[in-house]
Parts: sequence; C-alpha cells; structure tokens
Amino acid sequence: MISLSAALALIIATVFVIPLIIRLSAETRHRRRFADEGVNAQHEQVAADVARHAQRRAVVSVAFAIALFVAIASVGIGAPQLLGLPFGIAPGLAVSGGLLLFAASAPLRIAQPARNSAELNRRHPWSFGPRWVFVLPLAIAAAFVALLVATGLTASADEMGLSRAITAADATTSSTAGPYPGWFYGVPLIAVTVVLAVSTLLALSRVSATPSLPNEGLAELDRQWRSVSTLVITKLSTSALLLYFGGTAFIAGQATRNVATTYTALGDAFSSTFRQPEFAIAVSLQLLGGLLAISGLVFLAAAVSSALTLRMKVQFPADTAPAAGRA
Amino acid sequence: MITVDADSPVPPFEQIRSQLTDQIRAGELGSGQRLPSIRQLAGDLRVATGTVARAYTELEAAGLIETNRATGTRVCDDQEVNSAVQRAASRFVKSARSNSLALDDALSAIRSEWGIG
Repeated sequence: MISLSAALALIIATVFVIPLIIRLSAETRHRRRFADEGVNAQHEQVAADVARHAQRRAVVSVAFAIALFVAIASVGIGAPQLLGLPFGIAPGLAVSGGLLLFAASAPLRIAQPARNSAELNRRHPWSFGPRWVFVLPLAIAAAFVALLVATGLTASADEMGLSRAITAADATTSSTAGPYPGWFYGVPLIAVTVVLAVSTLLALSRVSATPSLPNEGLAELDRQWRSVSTLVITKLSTSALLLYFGGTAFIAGQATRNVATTYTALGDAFSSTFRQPEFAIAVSLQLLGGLLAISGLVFLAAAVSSALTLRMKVQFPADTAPAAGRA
Repeated sequence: MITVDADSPVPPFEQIRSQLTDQIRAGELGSGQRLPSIRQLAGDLRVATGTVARAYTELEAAGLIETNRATGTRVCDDQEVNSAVQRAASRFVKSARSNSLALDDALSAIRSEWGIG
C-alpha cells in the first residue's frame, strides 16, 4: 500500500517536475534554433513580448487554480462538519477561479503603428482549437450530471436526514452505507459544473475577443498564442471535470459495494456474499472513477506543461522572416 | 485582410468601406460569408466602433451586406463583378503597373473612358 506522502510526491512529480523537464529541454532547442536562424528583429521582439505575456497569464492562472485547490481542500480538513463537501467541489471551484483570473487579466499593450490590419474572419471562443477539446469537456460534464442525477435518485437519507447514503433492502435484511453522492453532494457539484462551464466560456471568449496583433505579418503569431491559450484553458477545465467526476464515481462505487456485500460469521472467519447486479455496478464505478481521476491528473499535467512551454510554441515563424535575415 | 492607415487623408470609415467593397466585388468575400462583428473589427483596426458601424451601414445601404441580429453580418448574394470584367480589370492593372502608373492616374484613365473624367 502506498503511503499518503508517497502518493503526494507522485502527484507533485507528475504535475510539476515532468512538465519542468519538458520545458527546459524545449527551451534549449528553442535557443539553439534562434542561434542558427536570424529573424526580423522587430517582429521577433513583438513575438517575444506576446509569448511572454501569454505564458505569464497562463502560468499565473494555473498556479492560482492549484493554490485555490489547496485552500479549499484545507477548509475540508479543518471543517469536518461539512462532511467532505469541500473536497468534492475543490477541483471545479479552483479551476473556475483560475479561469476567471485569466479572463480578467489585461491584454498585452503593443505600440500602435499608423497602419493596422485585420483579418475578415469572425472569431469565436471555439475558433482556436480542434473540435475534440471543446466536445470532450462537454461530454464529460453531461455524463457527470447524469451520474449525479442517478445517484441522487438512488440515495437515501443518513442518520442526520441528509441525502448522502444508499440503502439496499430485501425481504429480510436492509443495509445502508455512505458517504454516497446523493443530492447533498450532487446539487453543489452540479452548481460547480455550471460555474466551471461559464468560467471556461468567459476565458475562451477573452482569448477570441482580444484585438489581433496590428501587423499583417504577425497573423500567424496571433493565431499561435490564441491556439495555445485555448489548449491550456480547455485542458485545465477538462482536468477539473475528470478529477471530481472520478472522485464522485469512486465514492459512489465504494458505498454501493458496501451495501451489496453481506458478511456472514462462520466461527472465527467471515464469508461474504455479493448482491448482483449492485456489486458489479459498484466495481465498475470504482474502476471508472480511478481511471477518470488518473486521466484528470494527466490532463492537469498537460495543462501545466502547455502553460510552461507556451513561449516555445508562440514564436515568429522563421519562414516568414526576410531572406536577408536568414543568411 | 483589410488595413487602415491613420496617416491617410482618406477617413478610416471610407478606407474600410472601399476595401470591403473591392473584396466583395472581386469575389474574395463570397456570397453569404460572415463578416467580423463591429466590435471585433474596430478592436483589430484600433478605430472606434462607430467608424466600423458607419462603414457597415453604407455597405448595407449599397446592398452589399446584410445584418441580422441572429446571424450577424453577411455578404449578400450575387455581388461579385462579372468574371470577364474582373479579368479585364486584372489585365488593365498589369498594364498600368508595367507603365509605372499610380493608382490615381489609372483611375483617371477609367473615369475618362467612362465619360466622367
């Protein structure tokens, strides 16, 4: 059994150390490339400013979300009377806070030239990423709400009268187990999912609504920072959804497994019988929960990595630099 | 892509209107193509929203674009100049450039042929 500190160390390694190594190696490659190739100095300066600003904005938002998560989870530890609710809502609220900070941060101010160019394509919040980065979180959110409604409908009241237990009864016996994500956890989690969806939309709208870079030659750079920022936002949002969907599914599975298992004393030993199909559903929920939570960590690491390597992905394209500069 | 030159004596709304007209007439902006919102275009070109709104209003009055609350601003159908005329214009521009003619001089030649010079 892995200890709690070992598990925490593993999470920190996944979320911070691996993206940092990726960033350092990418930065080395980036420097070598610019040492080899000359580029238009003025455009490269704008590119550097844009990349630095976009990266700072993304990193600060991700860091703020992680700090907020720790703060909300601490409330959960310090206030047991909240029955673990802060742990459930922490990923969604923390990422919402990070995304709202992203949406509220001021765009980069660039010296205005006399000539300003604009493309005639209408920009939308979903214009700067592949379709799957928008469809995936929507599908996860829909499945999560469906799970919460299902657990709400199958929940029973605990000893305090709160909808956070599950009861299985037959003609002779009845067993109750909790915590179970009934309406007590379900309603706040649905509300947090709505808040997360709105925050994600606001952050994506901020990316699309920011005025484009003024020069015609910077169009590709303009598209790059929007694309990478969109990826950071959607990965962060998806990670939060997966983390609390995974946790909820796992806990629902655990409670269902407890009510579906009957222990019978046989002298000094116990024999267990499993009520079907509840037991099969419980095991499936636990497996699904674990898988979703691990996927959530992977997406979180990917979001951190995208934020930290943003400057390497947003750069003045070498093939648009003047030929003289590439000698 | 359109450009607004703040140093030009031509007012910004006219620069926007004329470039959009040219692109619609040349077929670069096809029938039904959605144009950016007034706010987006004004932000990108660093001009007031009223400037873009005025250009859009004039284009709408000329029947080149239509604005709908639900679908935004779109290019109207069949606004492209006849392709034969477009090819002739292309040949004319090549000829004018090869003779080092400035745009105003080339337009003077057209106005003269049109009978309004």
